[in-house]
Amino acid sequence: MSISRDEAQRALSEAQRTQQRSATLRGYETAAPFLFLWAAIWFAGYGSQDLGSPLLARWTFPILSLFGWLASMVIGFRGKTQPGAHAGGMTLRWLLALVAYAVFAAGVAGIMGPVNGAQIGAFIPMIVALTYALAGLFFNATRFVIAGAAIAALTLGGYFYLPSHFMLWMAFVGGGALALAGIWMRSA
Amino acid sequence: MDQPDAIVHQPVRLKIMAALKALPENEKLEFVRLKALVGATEGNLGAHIGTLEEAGYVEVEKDFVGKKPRTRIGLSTKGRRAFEEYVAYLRDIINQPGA
Repeated sequence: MSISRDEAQRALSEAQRTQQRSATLRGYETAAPFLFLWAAIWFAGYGSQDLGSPLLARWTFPILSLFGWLASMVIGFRGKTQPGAHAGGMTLRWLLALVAYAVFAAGVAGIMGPVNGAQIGAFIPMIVALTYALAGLFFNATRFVIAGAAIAALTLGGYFYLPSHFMLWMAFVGGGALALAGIWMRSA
Repeated sequence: MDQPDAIVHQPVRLKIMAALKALPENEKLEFVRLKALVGATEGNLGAHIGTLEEAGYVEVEKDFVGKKPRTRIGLSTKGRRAFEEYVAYLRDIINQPGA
């Protein structure tokens, strides 16, 4: 049995396409539970900002974010089904990512400050949207790009056109968009 | 490798192995998902999975989720190696000068 160069090229392209598609679908499936989790956190976090209590407004989001990060780590580890997965390395990566996001957000807030709650409330989802869009572009996952673009558009729309109800907007529309994105990823 | 591995060489089986190779080691893919990825009919896919299982290239796991039966397929270590060797064989042909 001999294979020509063209046949080899075709077979290799087909194999690579299938492998890429399989990896992308796995990425969507992996992302879905994180999106559901953060949809609930956005709903509770942004919702609490609109209840009028300054104490609640100040502490709910930091506490929820920390909880969300820990829960994300748990979901991430549960997804590692293979024995011998490098749990230590993964923990360190999660923690470093948390530190990187926190330092970046605090740094930007410091440079641009003083900033109000709505500005921070819009800025964080914009970072999230950018992360999704870049991940989608680099890993050839269109749904991530679309989800990122949708989150950014909804955040900017609410911030500029509905400033008086921005927190409520983010709770329902932002959180709802994340949940819908999760359903969309899972159904891929 | 002088000759291609005849089991991997078949186009549907090559796609099955490529789809499974994208997963981390020891992770399995559900039959319905694999069917969508490969674009084969249920019977055709089942037959090719049988051939790959006989060769020791894939591992098939059947269980129930609630009352629904579920079949999951994963690449074995032997299958992973066979796929890598086949891809290397294809690359060698493509990269041959004057081929």
